[in-house]
Amino acid sequence: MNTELRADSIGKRYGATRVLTSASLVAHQGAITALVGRNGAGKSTLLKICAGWISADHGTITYRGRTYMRPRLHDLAREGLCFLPAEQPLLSPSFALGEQLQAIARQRHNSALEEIIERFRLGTLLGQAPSALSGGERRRASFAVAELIGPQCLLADEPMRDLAPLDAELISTSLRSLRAKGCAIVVTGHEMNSLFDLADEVVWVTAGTTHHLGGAAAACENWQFRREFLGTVAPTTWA
Amino acid sequence: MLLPDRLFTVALIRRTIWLWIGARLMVGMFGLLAGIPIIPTRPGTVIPIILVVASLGGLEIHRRREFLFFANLGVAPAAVLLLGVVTASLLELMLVAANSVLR
Repeated sequence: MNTELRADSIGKRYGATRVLTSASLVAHQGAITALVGRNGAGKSTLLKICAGWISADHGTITYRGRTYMRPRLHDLAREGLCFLPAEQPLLSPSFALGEQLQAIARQRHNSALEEIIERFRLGTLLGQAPSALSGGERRRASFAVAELIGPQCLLADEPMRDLAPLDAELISTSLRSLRAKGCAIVVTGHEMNSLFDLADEVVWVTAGTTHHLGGAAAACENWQFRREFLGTVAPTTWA
Repeated sequence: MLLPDRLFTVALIRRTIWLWIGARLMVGMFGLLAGIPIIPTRPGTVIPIILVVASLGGLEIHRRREFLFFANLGVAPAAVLLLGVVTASLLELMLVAANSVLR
């Protein structure tokens, strides 16, 4: 598998709190990497650094063979990276959803707009501003944007958080579809069933560093991971 | 430098025009109260107005959390801010031209 994105020796400190000391991450073409860890472990921080949305204190990001000391999201986006953050909507609140999707499709010369709108069940929401949408609708709209962009690498922070089962299934289908097109995907979250079902690789963020655990089945067999992260809900179905 | 799609570019220009009108009205009102020209066109006034309008435009984009949206489309924050500076500069240029014709 070709490596699309690689983060090496990433360190990040917020004031006196050291969130990451030496974290690494690799995203392969046509594979989904699940970045898991306890709340506050630094998953979102690592993802934002990889996306070039915030800068690391030390470490490097290599994207599509080019190494960056301080990557910027707009530079990486021009090379095919897309970042979907957890805590803020991707779309602008100033325009109707339909207008924005049309504009993105026009800019990206993507003719699949109608199909994407139908697949994400956004047809009745096109006239609304993103700020008027519910959390699930907004997440669907964000993934519709991601599919319109057609990324080479997608970094999605908690894409399935607080979603209804049907919406979570739509997002899972979208992730599978992007993977099938060769997109390198990194997702974070706490929805172990959905994430492990999707993941080709599992990376555990703990104590400021990362542990590459292999596939979902191998991760479940890791006693330390089971003891310190999965706890009593340790699933057996993937093992 | 990559610019946003025309839908977003037009909206950003429109937003800058409103901010510029607001800034010029404020300066005009101050001039009226202070008994100085209400449409000052000296560089000492024009340049700060351009910078204030561009900065307010930047703050508005930040408030609407649009930098992330534009960045995902490959548009640099500098390009978006520069659009505000260029728009405000053109408006100032038009005002200076109009002022010199009317004098």
